[in-house]
Amino acid sequence: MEDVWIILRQVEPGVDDINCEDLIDGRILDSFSVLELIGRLEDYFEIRISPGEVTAANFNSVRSIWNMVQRLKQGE
Amino acid sequence: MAYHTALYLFLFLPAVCLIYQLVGVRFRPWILLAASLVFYWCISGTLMIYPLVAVLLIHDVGIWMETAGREKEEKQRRGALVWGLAGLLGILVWKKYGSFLAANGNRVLQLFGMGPFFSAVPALLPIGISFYTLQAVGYLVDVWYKRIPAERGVERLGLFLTFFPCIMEGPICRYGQTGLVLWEGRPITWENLTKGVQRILWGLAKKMVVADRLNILVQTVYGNYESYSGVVIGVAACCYTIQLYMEFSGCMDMVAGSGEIFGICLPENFRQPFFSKSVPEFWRRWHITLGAWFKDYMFYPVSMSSALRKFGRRLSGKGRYLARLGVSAGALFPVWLCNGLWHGPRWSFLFFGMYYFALILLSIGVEPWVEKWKARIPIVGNSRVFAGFQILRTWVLVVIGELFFRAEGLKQGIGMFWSMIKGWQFSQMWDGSLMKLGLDWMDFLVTGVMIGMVVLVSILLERGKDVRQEVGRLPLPFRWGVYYGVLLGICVFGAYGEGYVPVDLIYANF
Amino acid sequence: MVFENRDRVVRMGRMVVFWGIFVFLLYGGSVVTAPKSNTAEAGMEGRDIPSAGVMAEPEGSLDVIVLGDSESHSAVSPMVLWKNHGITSFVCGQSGQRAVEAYYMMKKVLTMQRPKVVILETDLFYHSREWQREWNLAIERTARYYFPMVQYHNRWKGLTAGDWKGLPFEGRRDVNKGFLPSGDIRPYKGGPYMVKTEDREALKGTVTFWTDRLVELCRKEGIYLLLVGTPTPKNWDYRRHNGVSDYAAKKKLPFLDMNLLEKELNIDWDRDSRDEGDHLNTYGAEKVSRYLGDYLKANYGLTDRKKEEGAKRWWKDFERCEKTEGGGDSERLRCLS
Repeated sequence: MEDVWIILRQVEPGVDDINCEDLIDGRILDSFSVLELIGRLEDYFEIRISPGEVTAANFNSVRSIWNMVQRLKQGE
Repeated sequence: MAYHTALYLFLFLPAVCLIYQLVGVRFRPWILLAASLVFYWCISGTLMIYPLVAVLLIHDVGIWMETAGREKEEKQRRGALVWGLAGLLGILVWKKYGSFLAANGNRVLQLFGMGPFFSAVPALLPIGISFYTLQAVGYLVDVWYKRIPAERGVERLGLFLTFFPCIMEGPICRYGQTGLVLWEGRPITWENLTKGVQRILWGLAKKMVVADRLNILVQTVYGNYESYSGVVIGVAACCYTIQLYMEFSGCMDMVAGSGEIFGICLPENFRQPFFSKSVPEFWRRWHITLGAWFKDYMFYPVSMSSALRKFGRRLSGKGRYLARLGVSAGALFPVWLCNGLWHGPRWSFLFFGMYYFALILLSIGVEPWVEKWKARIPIVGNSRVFAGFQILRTWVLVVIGELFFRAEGLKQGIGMFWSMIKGWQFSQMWDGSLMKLGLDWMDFLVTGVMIGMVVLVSILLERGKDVRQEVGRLPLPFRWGVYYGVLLGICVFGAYGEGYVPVDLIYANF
Repeated sequence: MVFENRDRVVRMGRMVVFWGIFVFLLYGGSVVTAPKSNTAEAGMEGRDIPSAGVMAEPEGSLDVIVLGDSESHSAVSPMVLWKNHGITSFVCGQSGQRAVEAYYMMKKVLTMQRPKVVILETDLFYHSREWQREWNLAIERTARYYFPMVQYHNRWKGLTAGDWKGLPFEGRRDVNKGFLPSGDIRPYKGGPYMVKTEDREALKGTVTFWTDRLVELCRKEGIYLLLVGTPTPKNWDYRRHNGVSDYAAKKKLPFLDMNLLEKELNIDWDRDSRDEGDHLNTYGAEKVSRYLGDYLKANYGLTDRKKEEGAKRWWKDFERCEKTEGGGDSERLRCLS
């Protein structure tokens, strides 16, 4: 999960709380940041994220992103 | 029948509430469904066949996709999706844009010296087709992405697509959020009833006191635009923007209030848009469900498509900024093309979409320089004055956009814009020319007071306060004073009755 | 449980009081905004002015009330009825009056008058458009009847001190008694328009709902209701005659369709219409009113009031309307041709 946090901070340096649960709903990440984040996550974890995964439920917190990444990695 | 008519407020809605509450939990959603079908019959008659076909389509295709996913290949699944989308969008395009495409196709043919080939007869549009089609498409795509399971109950999908508060002007709901709640059959509680009625009255006040009144001025200027220039046109565009906001958000209040009575929380469509500091922010606060729909069902799928990804990777070699700009342009173009044209088959709507596309792309483009500048002069960059400037600038850009939006065609829009700039004379503001447009100073005063109240409410909402709760906390005489104020405001200052032409809901025509 | 019930009672009580006060406010608002006279200066709408004169007539002085659309106030001249038979009448028609408006007009008139006969001009049976529009209109007119503020709320811009004091209505006497004369002659050249047929143009529910209630109201008050169709080639034909005839038969009402009595009335379409067959002018109105007066005398045994107390006033009004000259488009023309 640390890796996700690091990547997130690369995309959006302004985030300072690892336990933030409001990344999407609180408009901390805008659409372009999400795209960039997806690109980096895909490259780093060697997974393929489909548009169907782009939901608030998956991206609202570092933990949920990590869960999604793990799920996609296992599904391969 | 429409949400602001006597028939809806005093007959239809009370009747539905009464019957709904009297029947048992199991029958309640059926009552809502029946009411929605009756409502649709009243507004569009036999064109009801179109939403019903859409319901059957998404029901069958959704189940097909789910069973195909289990047994057959991915290709079959994709085929089902394609058929479903083609059906839904095909009907929408044919009904809504058929005559526009035909007319322009003929024009192109004429350029090549060939005679007109297509018949450009405008078809009668089923009301709400632009709204329920998007909801239907959203449902299919959500099932495709396995975000939600396919719904087996055709009646539930029926209620989802035709729910009477949402059918005319949205909000555009998601099945995963709203569809399931609709079928719960929650009883009408005292609290929901009062809250719902309060919200309906507030929305009614916005429409009747401000929007319908300003319509007179807007109609006067736009109906005869060649006789006006300069400040008058600017004022008309401003008034139209206010009218549009008051009417659409007022209608959304009436819709949300209607839903609230039944315990259904519909998504918000507005979040104090005029506090936006930038155009992209504006579109996150105005007609929110439309923007969200385009974001989830067009922007992300397009920007994450392999074509655009490859493009993005190629550009990221040249720098993060260029990659971001390139991908944005690639993904935003179809979004804004569709957003503009969604409003209707007119070149001026296309222009409207492209106008915002350009502005948003521009704001993305200059972002690094703006950030640098802000970092260099943090005092100004973070000051209230600068924020005020940003808000004002957004207002100007939005009003210009609405000027074109309201014009009956691109030519009129360009003509009006040009004559506004050419003939601009500040003296027109106080030489009385604004009083010759159908409204007198008393009208402006009443409008101003109501707008002031809306601003006050907006400030409270922006600060996260629940306005109805705040009012509920006031001591009884003041609380009732507020309620009577709104009620009497509608009765006395509403722009209805003799001397006023009833104004149809603007967005119901899209 | 006890708390719940008490809560409920308190809430109910509060709701009743809240809406009760609101109704009171509406009533107060109506008292303030309702026009204090039947003139445009007082804020009354043009369409309502002719019929509003009925409230300026002395209580219980009218024997005949006429309801209907613009046909009624262009074809029936109460002064002709007075002159020939001493019948006191008033035309409470409005341009484009609908059945719901006729019903509420009747209710309003009944607060001051006790007529023996009510004449309903039948053109209004076919004033009905799309049903939703009619329902909205019906709701609005009902609200208007109980709370005139619904109609006159726009007067907030020009309320006078008299309005705020809530002065009672003081009507200006209408010497024409609701009749709107016109000396214009624009002939009707369309030829015979009452061609016999078995077809009928059906009446809509949005109309008969209100005419039924009007019939009931008259029955309850012991008033004779007479359906009259005044000559109007532009708006009438045999199909409509049949439609209304059926209704009259069903409700056991007499139906006097003057569109079939061209000869008896001696209507001359070259001279008697003001607008090519839509409405009659003063010449046509005199013929219709004379016939109507004879008919009323013969069938309803109305008192000849020429020998009574109030007759002086009527004769004074008669003189005034007889003397008013004019030509072309001027406001007040001679009420008799």
